[in-house]
Amino acid sequence: MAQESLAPVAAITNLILGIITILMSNRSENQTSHKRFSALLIGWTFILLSIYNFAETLLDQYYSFVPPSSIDFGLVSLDGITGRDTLVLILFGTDAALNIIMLVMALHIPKDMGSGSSWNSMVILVITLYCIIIPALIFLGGFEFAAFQLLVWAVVGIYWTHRYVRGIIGEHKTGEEQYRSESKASAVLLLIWLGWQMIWWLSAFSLLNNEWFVSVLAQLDEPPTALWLAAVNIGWSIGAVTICALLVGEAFRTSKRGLSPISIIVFIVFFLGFTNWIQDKLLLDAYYSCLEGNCAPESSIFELVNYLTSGVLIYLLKPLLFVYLMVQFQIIDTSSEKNRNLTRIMILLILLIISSSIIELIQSLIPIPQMISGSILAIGVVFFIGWEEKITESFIGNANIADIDSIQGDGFNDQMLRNTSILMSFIILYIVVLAVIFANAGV
Amino acid sequence: MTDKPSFDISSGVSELFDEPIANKITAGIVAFFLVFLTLNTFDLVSNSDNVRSIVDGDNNWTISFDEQIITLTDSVIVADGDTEIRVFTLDETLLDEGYRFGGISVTLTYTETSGIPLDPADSVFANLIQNDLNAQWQDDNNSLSGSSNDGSQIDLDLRAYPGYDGQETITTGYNEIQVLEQWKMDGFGIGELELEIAVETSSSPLPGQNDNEEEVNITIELKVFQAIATKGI
Repeated sequence: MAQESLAPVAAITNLILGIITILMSNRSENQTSHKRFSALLIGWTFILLSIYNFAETLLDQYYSFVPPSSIDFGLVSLDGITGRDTLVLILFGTDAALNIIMLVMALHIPKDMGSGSSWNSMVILVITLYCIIIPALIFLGGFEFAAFQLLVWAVVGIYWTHRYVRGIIGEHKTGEEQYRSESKASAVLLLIWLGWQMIWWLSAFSLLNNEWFVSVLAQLDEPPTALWLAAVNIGWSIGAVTICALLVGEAFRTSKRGLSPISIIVFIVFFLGFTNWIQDKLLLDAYYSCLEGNCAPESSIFELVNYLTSGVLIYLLKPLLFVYLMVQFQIIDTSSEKNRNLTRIMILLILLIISSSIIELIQSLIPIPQMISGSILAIGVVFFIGWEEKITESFIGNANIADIDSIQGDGFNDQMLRNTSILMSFIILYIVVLAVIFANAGV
Repeated sequence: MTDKPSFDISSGVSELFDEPIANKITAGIVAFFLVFLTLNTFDLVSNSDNVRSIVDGDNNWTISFDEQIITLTDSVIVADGDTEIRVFTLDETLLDEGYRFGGISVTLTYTETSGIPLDPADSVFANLIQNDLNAQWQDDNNSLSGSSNDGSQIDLDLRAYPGYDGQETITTGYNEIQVLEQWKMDGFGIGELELEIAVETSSSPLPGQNDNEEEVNITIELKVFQAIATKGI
């Protein structure tokens, strides 16, 4: 059973969500400027994710599939085909930009770590410098340097985990909703950014990930440095540690206050660790076969499990959770009349994408004729349009005061907000131009 | 009224660490993360060294086999011109823990049992019938049929486990699990072994002395093995 890649769907979804989020941020004069800046960060994250997914799609379509982990670990090499090399370099560039935005997001959501105009200027400056220097360093110094960006994951993972623990303890001690809002926002952000690493927690703890990596190590021309191997391990380790922290926290909270939607997501992600461990265990032969210089093809079951776990988390859950975060915490002003239509588009888009992706996932398990799946989707579309107002209301109505107030921070002036968007546009242009130049230069 | 500082991170930091229990839990998480990362990295570095030694061609393993023989016996009286089929069930209950069927040897013996003077030895034909028994039926080393007309024994052989001949082999591999993987497959040799025996008697030249049956003794030796990997040659 062949699976269609989710990357093209994610590319279009993220692009539309990015444009809507940025527009809504610009129109939300009633919102605090900190929330508007947070919305901008999320909006530009969508745009960068969209560029990343477009590059992935084009690579898969015209050249060869490049898995996201190859970019994170710096395992891809250039092969002299300008088109392919440009796309690979764009992946590295956008990955670097996403990493620094993740760090900045951690310092702003749920609570702003600093305050003052210089703090805000510094944040923007850090994004700019990182996006200018790091991609160029990676292109010039070797792609393996990309793996050291996983340090950012560790910092962010620990930071949000601390925020999460603080929220859980505070809620337990005081019973105040604001603490739950803090822990909820931190958990959602951890799931967004590190969720796809979390599902390998059992493979990480049982050191089975290292066995999988044998297949990668066997194909390297030169022995890797211990420092690079340590960097590679950061991603798996922080994913494993954070999901365990979330599991303990949500289990504790569930025992005291009952089940919440976030708890369910955490439990599901934790459970996926078992399925992926079994998958890893069954594929040891295929991994070892690489040692003989000829890797055995991975089974179709592996591809299916990967598609249903990592694929869904990377391509589907990420935009969904971002939209949940923005609506639930009112990072975008959904109450304003000006934003009403955009909010509707955003929610309907998410619903449609989820429906079509679920149908696609079912189709990868059971070969339903496309006529039937198309009809089911059409029924879904009719339902969503017919009940659009109620669905939108139920989404927006769920936000509570504690959630809305929990996103706090220092003010940005309008000029600074405008500059952020101009700067992000410049960064994207810079990444693309840099990729084209380096690919043509054949470095 | 005091001016708001243009850069203040201290209030954010103090708010972040204002919950002592959360601080202790986070400290524990960070310590665990660092220890786990270190252990994981050591393991990956060791894996990497092993991989290099294999890729550079220096990781040989000697595979030897601890072999046991399980013997099954039977005898059958076959009438002249008849064909008898004896069925032997081979299943896991015959095996000790960790052992697998390597090969099946069948020996048929008979002597002239008529007791008639000058009665020459009869002709016995034996054949292992190919069926669902999970074995290497197309292996070149098999001997699936045989015959005898002078009372000599008939030897039949069937290889059960792919590539198994009981001899030590040298292989390269990453670790013990990997090199033993191909010797730990289940299911081989399991099934029903069907042995077809036909007899044609030879009568004594003396008039009135008819030999019309023969007793054939069957000995089945099941070679079962457990593979042992030893690093080096």
